[in-house]
Amino acid sequence: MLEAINLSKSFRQHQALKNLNLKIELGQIYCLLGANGAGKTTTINLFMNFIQPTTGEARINGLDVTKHGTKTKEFVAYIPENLMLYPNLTGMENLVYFSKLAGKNYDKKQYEAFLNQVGLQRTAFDRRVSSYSKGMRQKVGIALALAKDARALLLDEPVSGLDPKASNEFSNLLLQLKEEGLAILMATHDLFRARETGTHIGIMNEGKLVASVESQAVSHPELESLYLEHMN
Amino acid sequence: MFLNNLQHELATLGRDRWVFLVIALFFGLTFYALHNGAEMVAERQQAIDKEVQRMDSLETVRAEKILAIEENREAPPEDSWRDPRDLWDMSYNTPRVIAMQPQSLTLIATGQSDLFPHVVKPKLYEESYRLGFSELTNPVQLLFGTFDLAFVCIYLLPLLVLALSYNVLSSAKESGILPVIASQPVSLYGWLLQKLLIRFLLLSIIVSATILIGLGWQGVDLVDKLGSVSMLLGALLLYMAFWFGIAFVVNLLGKPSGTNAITLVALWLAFVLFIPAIITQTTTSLNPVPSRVNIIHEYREAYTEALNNMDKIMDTYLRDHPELAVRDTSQANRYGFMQRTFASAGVINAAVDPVLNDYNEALEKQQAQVDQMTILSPALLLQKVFNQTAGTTAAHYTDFRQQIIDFTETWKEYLKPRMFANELLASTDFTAFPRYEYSTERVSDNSGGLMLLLSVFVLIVGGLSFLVYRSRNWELVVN
Amino acid sequence: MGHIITIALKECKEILRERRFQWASVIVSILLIASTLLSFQYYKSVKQQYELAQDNARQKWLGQGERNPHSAAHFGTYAFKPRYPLSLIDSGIDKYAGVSIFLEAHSRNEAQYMAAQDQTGLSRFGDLTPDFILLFIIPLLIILLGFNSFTRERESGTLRLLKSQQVPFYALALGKWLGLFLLVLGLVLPLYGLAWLLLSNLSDYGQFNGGALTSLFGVYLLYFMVFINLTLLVSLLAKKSNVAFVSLLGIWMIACLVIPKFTTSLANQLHPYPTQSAFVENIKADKQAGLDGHAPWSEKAKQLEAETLEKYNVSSLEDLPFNWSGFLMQESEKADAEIYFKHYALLKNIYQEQTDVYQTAAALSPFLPTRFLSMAISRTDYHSHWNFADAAEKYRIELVGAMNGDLMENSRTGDWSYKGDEEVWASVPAFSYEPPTLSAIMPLHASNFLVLGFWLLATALGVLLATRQLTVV
Repeated sequence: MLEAINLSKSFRQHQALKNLNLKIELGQIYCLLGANGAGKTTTINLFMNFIQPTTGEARINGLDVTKHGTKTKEFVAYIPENLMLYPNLTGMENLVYFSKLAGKNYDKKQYEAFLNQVGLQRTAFDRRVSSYSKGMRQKVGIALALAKDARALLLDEPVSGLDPKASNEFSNLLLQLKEEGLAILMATHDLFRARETGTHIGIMNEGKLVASVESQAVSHPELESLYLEHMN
Repeated sequence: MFLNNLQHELATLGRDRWVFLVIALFFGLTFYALHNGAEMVAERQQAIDKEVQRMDSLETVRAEKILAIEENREAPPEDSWRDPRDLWDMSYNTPRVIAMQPQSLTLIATGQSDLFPHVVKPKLYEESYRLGFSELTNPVQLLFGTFDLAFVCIYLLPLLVLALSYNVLSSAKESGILPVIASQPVSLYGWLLQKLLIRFLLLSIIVSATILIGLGWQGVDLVDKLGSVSMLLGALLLYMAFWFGIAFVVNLLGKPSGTNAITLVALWLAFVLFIPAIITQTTTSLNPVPSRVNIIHEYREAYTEALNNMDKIMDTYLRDHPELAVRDTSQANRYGFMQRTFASAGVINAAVDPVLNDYNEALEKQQAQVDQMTILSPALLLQKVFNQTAGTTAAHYTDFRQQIIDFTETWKEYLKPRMFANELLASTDFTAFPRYEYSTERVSDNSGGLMLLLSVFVLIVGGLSFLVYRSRNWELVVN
Repeated sequence: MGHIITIALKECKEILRERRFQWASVIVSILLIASTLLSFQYYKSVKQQYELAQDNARQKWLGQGERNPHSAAHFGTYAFKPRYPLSLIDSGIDKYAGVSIFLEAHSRNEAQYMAAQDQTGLSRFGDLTPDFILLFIIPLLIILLGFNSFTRERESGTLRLLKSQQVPFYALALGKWLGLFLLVLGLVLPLYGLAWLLLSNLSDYGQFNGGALTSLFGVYLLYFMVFINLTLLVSLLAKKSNVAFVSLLGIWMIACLVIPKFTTSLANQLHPYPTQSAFVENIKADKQAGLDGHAPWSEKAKQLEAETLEKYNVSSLEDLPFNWSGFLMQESEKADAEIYFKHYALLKNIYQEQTDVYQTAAALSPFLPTRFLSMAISRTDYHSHWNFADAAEKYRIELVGAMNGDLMENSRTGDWSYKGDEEVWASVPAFSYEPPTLSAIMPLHASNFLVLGFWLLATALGVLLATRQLTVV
């Protein structure tokens, strides 16, 4: 579903991403680990077509994102580190607006069902987003992915800054989405959660994917030592 | 997507109290401006009516006096200069009134109307209005200008447009919503265009409705003036579209809101203040029209010459106009002075006209040059549409001046043979007098062309927006 | 004090490094210099025209040939309004006031030929003259440079840091004020120098002593100080830079564009000028009720005739020791002059009332007192125009009086063949007009100074009070 082929990106002198090759199938959660500036966000931005690759291709559903910028976005949902919504609108209104932007139209009951499914409290549906916490906004983001019927989900540090309970809820949501068959790419700092939720784990350093393992194949201490090994 | 965006914009704008404040402000300013314009028009109309009434009543009184003499109820006064039948006395003490009536849409733009008189009484022996004519005003008022609808629309409305549009993209970026929007299968260009288009449509409705209500409130017959009013609104909407377009381009540059605001204010300054000021200053400084002061000298030269050769001029004049020669030579002509004046006027005008024509030509040329410069700023184009619709352009007053000259000639031509024939006025003569009627027929109106030019501006910013998007779309979402 | 200088220097340094300042200052400097040179060019050409015209008028008067002196008074001459050198900086109402007055027997004429009448509506947008830049653009530049002086510190968190350095906020405000002021001064001083250079090299500007020019710049500096105060005040009160910018833009708009126009409409509605034709009509009515020098058969004239005969104890006009016609003309001239004086006094009254309206509105906009002071010092205000018109009228009365006097003294009643010659015409000196001196003007504008001073103090006080309420978050 998500595929990077020799994907590279340079900003002036600095090479942010070097020859990334990556393939994420439906039903997989691929977690990218790495320090700040390792190239995780650049990878996601390239998949989202927010920036133009220097060389190589990023493909979604087999389509090159630079050539099919609009079409490929029909398949993906995106949740940045700090997902923002229109503060003056309610969670429901935001969901409706963005779904319609994505070309989907449902009746009210169904929108409610999506919000229920992601675990947003009923009382929050019609409150303005300005009163939402980060976790609540992200739930709306996941609801949007459901409403959009996305086949892939790109997440950039989604759990940083969430309290452990919210973080746990979020991981469960991801697992649920995996079960529904989505391909998920998530950039994160959290080794523990990466191993718990991810099916695959990639370690990045200075723009390179230096290691890629299946999470079942490593124990937590093994993962940690692998990670530290590549950081030096 | 359009309906979705429309619904969304209505919901977000509706929750923004700034929008209501701004709309209320526009409403208030428009109504105040129209009220002001109406006051000025009323004042002008009053002055005209007063003069016309005065003329009518003076005529009635004189006609009655003449009738009394004609019916032998009263003897003619001994002093001939007191005789109500005297044509010269009538022309001096019961002068004709040449009035430039305001148009029904004059209230929208003061234009040049505060510089010129709207009532002129032609004199038989003096032609000062050929050289210049002016209204009595406090020049400080002319310097500051009046608060009319044209001011509200040309100066203030663009700022309103910019306030509604300067940060549409930047605020989405600053608040972090932009990546969420950009992750939807829509083009950012289209999304932003729609958002601005919706705002443009909303503002268009508000502005048009406000102006129409305001005009109706001031008693303008909108059905009768449908053509001019829709032309005016059309031009105004194009002007607004231009400013939305500018905001669109600046938004697409992807700079922060603060930078956008400063850039847009700078552009506003450039189009509304700088370009016009630079055009005026450079044309007056580098290419000045020869001063009217010089004409005075030419005029006086001719006048002195004519004065010194009065008898000779009279002889020649009568040779050229045998029909005017006095048949009854047994009696001295009571209009001897006016006869000589008529005779010399031709000579003076013949001497002055070339100078005057040269001057007028030079002036027309310069004004035409300046006129061409109006294509440099939509503000100038819109001002011209406003002034043309209001009937207050410089051209209207140049034409009015010519109408004064023409009517004065007609009036003289009427009196001349009668004076040369030493006639007296009859009580029934008044109805046969030539009467003046103001008409704007001879002033050409190129509002259609101006609208076309305004559309060109809109197209230019449209094209520009596309180019900017093509070169910047990679950088819009993340820095 | 040390704090303040340090802060001022830091502000200057910071702003000087900013692209928006670099751009804006380059543009404003180019405009200032270009506008000054353009108006200098214009000044020179108009000055030349004026001298030519004035000279020409005198030559025409002297060379009119031999004729009856009263006819000479009818022939008349012209007075031309000189351009005062400081119009280089502020051309004021010049383009909206007539430049020449026809001086003739029996009639006081209005100044004719205003430049604006020969321009199209485009010219009503204003001219690119130094006063335009000084009055409109530099305040805007101040806003541009200073709107985020405090909001930026707050937004970037440096305000916290400053507070921890034990900098009192009033010192911070003073430092920022000084920084902005120095930058503005840096922009305006070259203009001052250029104007000084141009003016002191004018061969015909004898009285140039720099006093007026310096006062003019003093007034503008006061005006800029008010805007610096306003900018800092809003920046202190606003929570966000954007809000500060929009509010300041609104203030500028209202002060410089809206209030002047609003006041104009108000003044015109409260105290309207009569129309030209109504004004002329009123004078005509008064004149017809009075003595007409050209109507010796009128009752008034007959009455005067009887009185004069009695006074000189003669029985017929021919026996008078002077020419009765000349005497009658002069008597009617005096009566007419009084009628004109009365009507123009009424007009001046309206003008004064309108000025009072502007004066009152000045409390709402620092633009207005500055505008009026600048025009007054540049002698391009309406008052200067009146001063010129009055001088021309005085000269007209003298001229016509001298002509009638000559007729009266040098000929006898009924002698219509008497003619004056160039010697008689030359007996009246050429018209020359000197505008009032600076010291004569200043007291008239005390209230404008007061209002401007009030603005300065009030806004300064506002800034100081706002600094006391400033919090770091």
